Amino acid sequence: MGLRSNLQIWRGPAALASDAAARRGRSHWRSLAGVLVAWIVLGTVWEVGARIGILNAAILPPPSQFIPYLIETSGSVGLGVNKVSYAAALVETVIRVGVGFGFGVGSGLIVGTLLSAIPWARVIGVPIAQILAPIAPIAWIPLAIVLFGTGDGAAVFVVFMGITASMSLATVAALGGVPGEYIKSARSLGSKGWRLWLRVILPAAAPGVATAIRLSFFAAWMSVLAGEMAGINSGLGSLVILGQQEFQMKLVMAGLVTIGILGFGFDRFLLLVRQRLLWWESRGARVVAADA
Amino acid sequence: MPEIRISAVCRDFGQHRALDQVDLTIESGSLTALVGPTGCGKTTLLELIGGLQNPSRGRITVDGEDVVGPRRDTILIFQQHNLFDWLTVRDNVAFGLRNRGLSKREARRRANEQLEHVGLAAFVDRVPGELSGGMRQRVALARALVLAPRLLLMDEPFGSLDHQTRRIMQRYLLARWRQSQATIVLVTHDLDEAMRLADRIVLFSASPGRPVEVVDVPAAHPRNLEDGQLRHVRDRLLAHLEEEVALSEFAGAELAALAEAGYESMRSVVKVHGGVSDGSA
Repeated sequence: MGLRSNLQIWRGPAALASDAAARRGRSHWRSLAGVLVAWIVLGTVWEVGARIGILNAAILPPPSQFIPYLIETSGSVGLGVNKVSYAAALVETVIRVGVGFGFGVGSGLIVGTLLSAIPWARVIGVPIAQILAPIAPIAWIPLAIVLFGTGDGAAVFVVFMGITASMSLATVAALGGVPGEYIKSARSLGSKGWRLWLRVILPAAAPGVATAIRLSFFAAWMSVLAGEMAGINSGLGSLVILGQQEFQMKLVMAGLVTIGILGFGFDRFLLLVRQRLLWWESRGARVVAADA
Repeated sequence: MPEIRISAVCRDFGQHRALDQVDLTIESGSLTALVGPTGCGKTTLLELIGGLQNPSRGRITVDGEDVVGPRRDTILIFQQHNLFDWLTVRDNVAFGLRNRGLSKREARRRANEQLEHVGLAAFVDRVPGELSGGMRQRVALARALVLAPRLLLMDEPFGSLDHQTRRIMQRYLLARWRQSQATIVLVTHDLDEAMRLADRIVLFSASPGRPVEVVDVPAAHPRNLEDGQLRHVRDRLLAHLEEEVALSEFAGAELAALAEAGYESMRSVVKVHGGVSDGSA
């Protein structure tokens, strides 16, 4: 590296640390601004397209139409016992995905860790997980409905089955990918047993596991919506289908945008948790002295 | 009094024999370099001495005790993945002390002391990802030395560093070695590194992995490799090492081609192993 990085050494570590913090802060605001700009651009193109007639406003009603509609009607469709309200549907879906995701990830982590730790369990368990993992979440819906009826239980089951096997396999892979030198160094420094697992192997595997958790969320989110559209007659997915059946395109659009924003929000939340828990990752990017 | 005694040690991985009938004695307080081509089993031997693997046959003793697992007085340092990315520099150095039952506070205090001693006091709160390669290896060395090891096993410790940093780290290791009085066994494929550091160089052959030549280097530090006697030893070892590398990389006809191309040291390889006659027959 060049003169610049050599000079940085002389400025002392304190100056560097505050520099790094400031840079992290700036990049945080930049990414937030990026999100806002992206949404404004999308909304504007949609609005303008609908106004000048490129987009058919009856099929693709723009935000200026579906947002007021949502506020006025509180997004209810259907009659009598089939009546579904937007707010209730949203809460239902969020709870279902939350519970299914929590159980799915939790059991995947436990099963994956056990499979990694116990050689004979791995021989039997990994092939089973490999058979279960490729089954599309949607394929579990008929079984779920037979087992649990068309309520929350079925939705949670679909989400759980949709992610737990792949999460187990991802955990096995992340633990298996821990460089052998880490474990050898730790053993040579007197680490063994559960301490070796807790202080070395699990933290070393954590970045890979965190990525798998984030991907699992996308699978969970799609599973719950697919389930709600294909038989579990409640929640956001069901709301969108009902809107389509009654040609309430404003409701359909409101549903789609909600699904997108919620999914985005959850993903950002998981990213934030990752940055907090795996705090060292965001600090590792810069090298202080001239090295290579 | 000899510290490490390796007698008739073999190590097999399935059908593959990584080490074959190794007999070696390493003196207490010495710095020994194991040199050889890639895949000659020198790293395996290091891990056997460190108790991270067990020999398939034979026996290794340190101070008369059989090595059956990682020993308290032995620390291994690797080329990469030495430091734990998820711990600060201070906690990396405190790691081994914590394993020995010290309280977090006491371990951190000693880690601070050690890091101050090696001029890394300003970096205690950094994470390894924020350090240069040379600094990382200094921290790894500090982490080992804080445990006052009697035996330090180093596997290509400076292999990923650039030339200048590597030279500085070699001097640094010599300085720290004198203070600590530990026995050091260092694996390297860099003959110059071995010539600069070691009291004794053990040259390995790759097929099968076993020591083929042991050379004592009695010269005082700092050494000038251009110096008459050292240069003589180095040239001889270099020719031998090139032969071993060629043998592990190439087969008969290719060896003959190398010799044709004027590679002086290959002529002896071809002659000894009958590459030309076998190749043409």
